[in-house]
Amino acid sequence: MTGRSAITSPAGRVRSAGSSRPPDAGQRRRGRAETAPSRPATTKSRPGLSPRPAVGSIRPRPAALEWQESSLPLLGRLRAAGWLPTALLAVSVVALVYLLETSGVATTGYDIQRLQAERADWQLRNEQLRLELAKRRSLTWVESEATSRLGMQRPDSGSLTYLRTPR
Amino acid sequence: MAYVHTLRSTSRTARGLAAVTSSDDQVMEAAARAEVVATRGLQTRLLLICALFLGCAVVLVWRLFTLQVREGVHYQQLGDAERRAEIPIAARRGALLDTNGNPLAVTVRYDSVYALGSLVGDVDRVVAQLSPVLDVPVARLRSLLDPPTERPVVLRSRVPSAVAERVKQLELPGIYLDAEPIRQYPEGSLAAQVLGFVGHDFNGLSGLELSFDHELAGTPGAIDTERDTSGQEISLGRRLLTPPREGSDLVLTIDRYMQRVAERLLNQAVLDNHASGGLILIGEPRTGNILAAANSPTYNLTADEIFDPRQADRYKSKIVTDQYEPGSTLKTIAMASAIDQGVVSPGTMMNDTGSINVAGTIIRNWNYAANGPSTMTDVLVHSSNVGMSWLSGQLGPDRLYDYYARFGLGQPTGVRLPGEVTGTMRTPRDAAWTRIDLATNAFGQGIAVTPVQLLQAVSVFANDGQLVQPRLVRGLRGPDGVEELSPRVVRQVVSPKTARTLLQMMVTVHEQPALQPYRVAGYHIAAKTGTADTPTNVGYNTDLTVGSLVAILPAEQPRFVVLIRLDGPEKLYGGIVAAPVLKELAQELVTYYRVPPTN
Repeated sequence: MTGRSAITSPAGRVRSAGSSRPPDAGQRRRGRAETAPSRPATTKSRPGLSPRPAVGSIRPRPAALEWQESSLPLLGRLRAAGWLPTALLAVSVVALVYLLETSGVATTGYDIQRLQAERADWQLRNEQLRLELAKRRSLTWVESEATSRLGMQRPDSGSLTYLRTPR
Repeated sequence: MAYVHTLRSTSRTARGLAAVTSSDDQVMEAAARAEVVATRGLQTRLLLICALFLGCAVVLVWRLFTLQVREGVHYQQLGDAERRAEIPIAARRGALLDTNGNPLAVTVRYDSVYALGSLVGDVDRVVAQLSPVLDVPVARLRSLLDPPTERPVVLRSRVPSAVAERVKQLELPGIYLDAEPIRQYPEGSLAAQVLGFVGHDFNGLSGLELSFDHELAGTPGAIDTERDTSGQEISLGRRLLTPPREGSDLVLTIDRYMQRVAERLLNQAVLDNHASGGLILIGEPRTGNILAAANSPTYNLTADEIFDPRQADRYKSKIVTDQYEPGSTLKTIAMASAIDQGVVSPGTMMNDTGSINVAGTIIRNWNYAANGPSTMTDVLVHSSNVGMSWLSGQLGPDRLYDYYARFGLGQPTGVRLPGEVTGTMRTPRDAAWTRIDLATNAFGQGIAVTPVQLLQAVSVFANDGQLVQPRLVRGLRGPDGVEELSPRVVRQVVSPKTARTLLQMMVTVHEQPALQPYRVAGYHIAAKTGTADTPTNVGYNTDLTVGSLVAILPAEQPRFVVLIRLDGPEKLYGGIVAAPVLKELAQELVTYYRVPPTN
């Protein structure tokens, strides 16, 4: 888009809708004002007409800033200009902290799961060792060891002597 | 571009008007009019664009409303089902402990190594690495893995944790570990018929495992959680834990040492007497505790597959499921009934001629002997069938059967073993009952009892006439603490005096000359032997007997009551086959429990 456009606000002020202003636009207006000196640069405003800026008084300003200035009170504009980056920064920091916390909790959670699995493994090993202990204490195993490995044998009833002991 | 074009055409129009009117005002008005037209067109298009966006927004909001509100529950369920995971937590099955807390049956988890053949890859490498770790031959592993299958194949079960750790470290593809609970029996097959066994689903199938299945099994728990696409649990997701309720441990009345002694003596007696089987029951009369319950034949609890359909008879708890005619051991009960009723006393005389005619049927003594004038004590010492037939006539059927019922015959004992039968006892109320039944029932024929019933009945003499319910479980150790089960006195059956009288009469029986070799030095034992012919379809087989013996020791301060039974012994008679077993058993009992001698 190479041209420029202008719409007229109800108050008769000019809103610049173009993103850029061609360098010859101002010159054309100024030239027209110079070639027709009988007509004042600023005429009585009429509905539907664009007021013509005075020669040398036109200072292009960003359209967004014009809108801000027109819609917000002065105090609000100042606050908006000052607090917006701060608020964005604060939100970013909070989000970062939350992310870090969440990540930490997730890591801890996986650590807990790993440790629980490890604990289950140790419990399983403990159970098996207890069983081995119980088997080694069983009468079956003791008798088997005594008779097979240690060469013991069960006494005959005749080889037993019961003694009366004083109470 | 359309906007520029409009401005240009507007300017051309304005210039045309200026040429016609040649007036500045007219030109200005025309330009203003043109700008109004252009502004209206612009507003129209803006409105259209807004309407378009608004329409899109409405559609999106409607769709959002549909998904979130109208069908929200449905999609919530779909989402939950997608990521929800319920991880079951099996409850530990309670252990069976002997009376001193030694484990008889415990549940231990072991790893099983299994393979998903399709993921194994290099079978040769996997087999070569696994074989020495699992101690499974290479050929065996190869046959399991080759050809590969989609289904998991168990390479080895019951792997100790140390071996499982080594398998983990190998990190072989397609090889996995899975922990599964195994019921283990540290004492081997000790008291197998009492303990029973569990199935693959860990439900009790026989013995105490079945009758106390609810207490032992506990209640499984679960973790209701969320998982990600890889199946991993989401740490920050919902996690609702329902903890399992562990099964209770049963503290039995069985003493592993006496159980082992009883099984050893029984097995030896069965071998020595060429019997087909037998049993030994040892009880504590005061509490009803059963200290040992040995059966032969029995089954192997430590086998991989315990149940063998060809030997289904061995899995029963025969001390409550099998009834038998007790023979002369029941004479003590009939004699106590008559003494308690005052019909006779130990010194009451009768003339034993060797036979007696009861309602046209001749009843003879077991040895066909005529014992002549006999006291009631002599009747028991000689185990006289004639004397007991005479006694039953004196007592009468109503009182005899009433006492039998009070001694617990014909009713379950409530020992809480599965399949308990009540025994068989005909009374005058039964159409099949005859007068001859009264006589034969008095000496233990024509009537059937279970071993536990007889043990309970004889315990009355050692218990000042009180009938105490026998039991195999004396407590439960559960998550809520220890629950001690108190002994239960059922009723007073006979007077304490009658009970002591019977004890003294039974001591006389055990100390008769024929049983002199089987006395235990320093102790008085009250005993009564019995020999019962086995019933057939056409009468009794006198060559196939059940030789048995009941005993109470020490007689002065009874602590133990014993029943020994041998089925089909070669030497037929209880006094010959069971009395030697009693001697050895009594010596073990008084030694193990440190019972001081009484004489």
